[in-house]
Amino acid sequence: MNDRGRDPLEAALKAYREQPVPPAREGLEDELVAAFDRAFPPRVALVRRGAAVLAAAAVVLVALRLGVAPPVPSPIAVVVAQESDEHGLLLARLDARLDALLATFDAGALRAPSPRDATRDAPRASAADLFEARAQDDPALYRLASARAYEEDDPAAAARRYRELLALDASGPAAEVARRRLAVLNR
Amino acid sequence: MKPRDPEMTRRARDLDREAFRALLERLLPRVRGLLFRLGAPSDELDDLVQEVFLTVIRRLDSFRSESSISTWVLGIAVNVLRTWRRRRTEEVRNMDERASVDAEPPSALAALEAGERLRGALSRLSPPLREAFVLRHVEELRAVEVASVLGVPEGTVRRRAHEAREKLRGWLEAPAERRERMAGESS
Repeated sequence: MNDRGRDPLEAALKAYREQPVPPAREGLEDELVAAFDRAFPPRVALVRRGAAVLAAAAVVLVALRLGVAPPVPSPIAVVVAQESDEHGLLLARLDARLDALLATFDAGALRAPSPRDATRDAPRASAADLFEARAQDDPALYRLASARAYEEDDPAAAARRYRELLALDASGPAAEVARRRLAVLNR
Repeated sequence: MKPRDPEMTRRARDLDREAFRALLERLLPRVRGLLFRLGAPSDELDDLVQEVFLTVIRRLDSFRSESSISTWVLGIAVNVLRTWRRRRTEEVRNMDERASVDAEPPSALAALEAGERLRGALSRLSPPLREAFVLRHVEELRAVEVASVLGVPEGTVRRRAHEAREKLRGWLEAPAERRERMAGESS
């Protein structure tokens, strides 16, 4: 700093930060979105839709065990909406999967059987099979779905599932959602 | 259960794409600004930005949320620019020659507007010092974030940023002010 108390570097920095960057080429953003579409073609969407059906089975299974209709994990969408910086993209992707899961469920693609149907030979067995198969593929997502399904009726069980998820994977986006849901449950 | 709005369902399925577009809206200007301030020439800027985000798309599935997504993307931007520099040594040399016109002796710098003076002075810094300074003091990242972007220890970031500040301050000070300061220090 000089003897007059004004740091020439700070003054220059302030001016430099305000200097405009040359404008971007028109259409650059659209080109990049097109590249994203090429990298994640419709095949992925189909796989995801299939996964959503399987995931719906997981929710049904949880509901059968509780004897209640599965709740909608809308707070996850809220978390995503609140997320404006660090994990926004990944949380949004996770939320899309959960949302698709529930949309499929709502659309009746997989009818939720009543607890009375949950006999040894009824859909429960196939739902369990689907759940197990899918859980092996993406355990974090399905622990999340399961935990969320418990939240309203058995917060302690939901909290236990969130903690189990964190014990399995403390750093992924599902863990981030689990931490936030745990914080809500602990309020 | 309340049926969902089909439009919302479609949107949920498109969320990955929208999330990517949101990511672009948030980070594309920032990446452009960073590359420009690290010395990328204006006529190469869009191609470099494109390369950054194509790399992001390719590596999206490998992103782990140990760091924030913005830090991750800025790290890719720094690496893309380094690779480009290695490939285009001759062009970079020409670019530095052009920039060094602005960076010429302090008397020439003194005649420029403060932001322009800093731009000229920055081009005289070595790439490691420039990267640390720009990320820390222009992008205003925390030292730990700069360390994550550059893949070096936090102490190295602090040392480089400090060294860069001292050099820049010396170059930016007007000769008369420097003489006054040195006289004040010696008395």
